[in-house]
Amino acid sequence: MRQLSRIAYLFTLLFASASLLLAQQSDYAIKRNFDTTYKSIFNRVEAANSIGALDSMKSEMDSLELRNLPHADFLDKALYPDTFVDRIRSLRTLHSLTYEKVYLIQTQGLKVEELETKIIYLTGKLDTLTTQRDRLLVELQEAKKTNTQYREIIRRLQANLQAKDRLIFALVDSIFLPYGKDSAQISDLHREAIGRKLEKANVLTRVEEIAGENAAFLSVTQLQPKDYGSVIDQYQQFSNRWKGLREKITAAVLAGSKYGTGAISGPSGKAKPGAPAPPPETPGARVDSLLLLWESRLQTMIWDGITKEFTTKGITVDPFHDGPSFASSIRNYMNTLKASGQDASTFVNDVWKARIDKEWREALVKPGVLGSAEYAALDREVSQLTRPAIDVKFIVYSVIVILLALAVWWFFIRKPKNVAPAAKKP
Amino acid sequence: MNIFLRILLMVFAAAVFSACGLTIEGVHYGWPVESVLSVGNQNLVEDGHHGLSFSVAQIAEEEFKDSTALRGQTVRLLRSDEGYYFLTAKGFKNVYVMKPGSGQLSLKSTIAVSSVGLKEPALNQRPPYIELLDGNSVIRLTRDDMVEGKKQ
Repeated sequence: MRQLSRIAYLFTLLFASASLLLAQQSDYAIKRNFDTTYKSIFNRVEAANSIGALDSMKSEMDSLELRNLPHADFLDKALYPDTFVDRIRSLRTLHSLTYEKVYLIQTQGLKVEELETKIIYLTGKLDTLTTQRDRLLVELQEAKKTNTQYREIIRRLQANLQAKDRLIFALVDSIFLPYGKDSAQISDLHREAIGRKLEKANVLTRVEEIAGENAAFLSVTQLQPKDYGSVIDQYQQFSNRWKGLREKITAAVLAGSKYGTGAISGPSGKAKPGAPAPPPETPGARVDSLLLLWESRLQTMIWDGITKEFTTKGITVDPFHDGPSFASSIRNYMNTLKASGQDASTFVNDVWKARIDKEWREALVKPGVLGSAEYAALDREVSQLTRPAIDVKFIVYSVIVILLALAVWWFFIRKPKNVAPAAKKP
Repeated sequence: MNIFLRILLMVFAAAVFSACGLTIEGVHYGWPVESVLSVGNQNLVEDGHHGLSFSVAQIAEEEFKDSTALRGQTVRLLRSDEGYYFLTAKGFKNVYVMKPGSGQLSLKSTIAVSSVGLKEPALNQRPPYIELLDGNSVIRLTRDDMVEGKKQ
């Protein structure tokens, strides 16, 4: 379409040029026409706010240049101190710069608009999830629930919390995205803008709320050993995302109005008269402390749960509260068993294999708990504890091989000893 | 002694005379494009670009027998390469050629170009001539007369 319009334009131009050649032209008219057209295009290019408009102005510039090319010498004098080439060049430069500017505004504008919509959507979704979570917590606290119902509520609550974790960081990403990834390159003006957006979307409070909800979730629920794997993943993902964004969020929030003044208002938003000024709080410090609480609760629940596995089987091990103390405790217990010559089958089969390896392995192999390498080493050591000196399977296989060899020899290789000699012929 | 003094005085007078008669040749006064000037209420035209202003009352009197006839109209003025000012306007039957002097413009010649009056005149610089356009008519002028084209 654009190609066609250009062709039509060129034809018009040629026709106009031919007409001009036929008619006598006043120099004054040539200059005035050039000036008028030049100023008109210049002003319109300067004020242009769409790529389409700029494209059509490009054709007008081409036409202006082509139409006035035969008068270039005259225009050089008439436009002094400018020249015809200078004017055309300045017009093209302005067009090029404006084009770039408009393009950026259009594309970035679209992106920003898109992200603004996303922020609104995510904020709404988070609110919906909070309402859903409140309802689930109420359901959870009702005593008359069957085990299946209870498990279902836990599952839904956990899914709800995971969704909120994802959404809050998607929200943060959406706010930061238009300004680039490198926080060091964000200008103060942009940082303030981000700070205002973070404040408007209530991001920091939401992050605090979600971290708090996750910590609270652990204290109101009784998880099964196999649930811990996903709960640990959830904590680690949240923690890593927070660590990655903490600095950027803090800087942006500080640049924003809330913390930029240096005074932190209380929860009511008003400082109490006569009360001493509260100590300056770093934005995000509450999230840090809630993350610590979350992790601490998670660790306590895991190690308490594992301790119970031993105590219910009557096995007394040294108390443990983290990965290294657990490994040390198990190794001490195994050394005690070896030294005393006690039967290790209960420990190995009933506790380690039936419970720890089967139920807790998924949680224990996580890096923040025990780690896969340490778990594998412990598992190997525990397995060796009950291994007999001579492997029964080895003896059985050996006997089978010997019997097979004997059978082959008996039926195929052995020569019969008492064969009657053939009767001599007379 | 007297002879020597006379010779010295003669040499001195010759030097002073030659200094006063310094002449630069080959000067081009021509404007690349004519000025289209509006006539104000005081019959004055001002060309800010060239730093020129004067009254056109006498021209109007000469052309229309009415010194105020040009008020609110536009006149077209172009300086030739030689330095003469060519002035005309819509409805004029003549082109006025003015010679600049000390704080004055004096009429060099009046070139009759139209018996009915010009309709849409325009002046172009075409050294060594000044070109007068009026519609399809093209007339070439010198400071004294037309050299090409026909009187309308």
